[in-house]
Amino acid sequence: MSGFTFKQANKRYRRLFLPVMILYVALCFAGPGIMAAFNFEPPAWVMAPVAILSGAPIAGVFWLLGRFVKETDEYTRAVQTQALLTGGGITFSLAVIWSFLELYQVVPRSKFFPSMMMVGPAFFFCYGISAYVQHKRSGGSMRDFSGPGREKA
Amino acid sequence: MGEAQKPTFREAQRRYQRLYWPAIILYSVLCFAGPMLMKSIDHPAKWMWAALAVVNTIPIAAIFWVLGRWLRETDEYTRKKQVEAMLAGAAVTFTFTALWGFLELYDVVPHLFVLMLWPIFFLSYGGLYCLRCVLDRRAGVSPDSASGASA
Repeated sequence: MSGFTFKQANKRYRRLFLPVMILYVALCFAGPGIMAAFNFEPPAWVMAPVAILSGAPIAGVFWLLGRFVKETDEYTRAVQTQALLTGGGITFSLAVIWSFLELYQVVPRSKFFPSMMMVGPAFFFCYGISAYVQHKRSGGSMRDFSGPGREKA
Repeated sequence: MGEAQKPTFREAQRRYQRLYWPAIILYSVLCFAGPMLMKSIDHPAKWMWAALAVVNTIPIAAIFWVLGRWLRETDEYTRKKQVEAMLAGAAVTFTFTALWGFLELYDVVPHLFVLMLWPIFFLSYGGLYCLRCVLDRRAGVSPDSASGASA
């Protein structure tokens, strides 16, 4: 439908995913570095663009994920869709529990790890685990990520 | 996989709404009733607050479960549109959380409860879905011409 094979779609995804992730990690370290350069009291106009730039790779990963889901084969699309929903459901539920615990002062508020910042990594973790479980359930092998109805070529 | 007993689009919609509304009403009631109940107790223990937080979250988890069931049960065309809108909604939500998290870390903005996450998700997901429907209608795309699936 998209004109790409499973392997091509995978390659196109990875070709951009890794640079985006490297950029994200670099920016995660660059931000506090800039803060340190200002003796940890930087003006808001300096840190606001740094924050926007640090958040941009997350948007990039979602754009890539959307393209991958459109380009890949039917089997992977079904596994990914189910995993996205399960991963999203678990993340949202955990985030809501955590937020209520924060609101009711059962857990402390972390200064260096704002809970908002932890949502993205939590989602990708839950989504990855869900994708693995969905894939295993449908009888695929993890080594080549081949589904029951897909040729291994 | 039970394809013969698959509900129609309307049945799937009805099954979804039959659980969605009670869940959302329960959530709203718990949001108000919980803190009021706690106020009536002298110095409630931490575990009581923790239990209330977990109970408050159950309807949210139920909504996601119902959404998943509805996606499996509805027709191909609706599923495709919903999945794309959900992914776009998730992109908006998670980008916002990353941005707000960094702004908070760098002391540019005040703390925002993660509780705001799911209204942001449902608003962006619903808004993008409606926008897609309007654009499809303007372009003259109907469910039948898009996939042949009937509603």
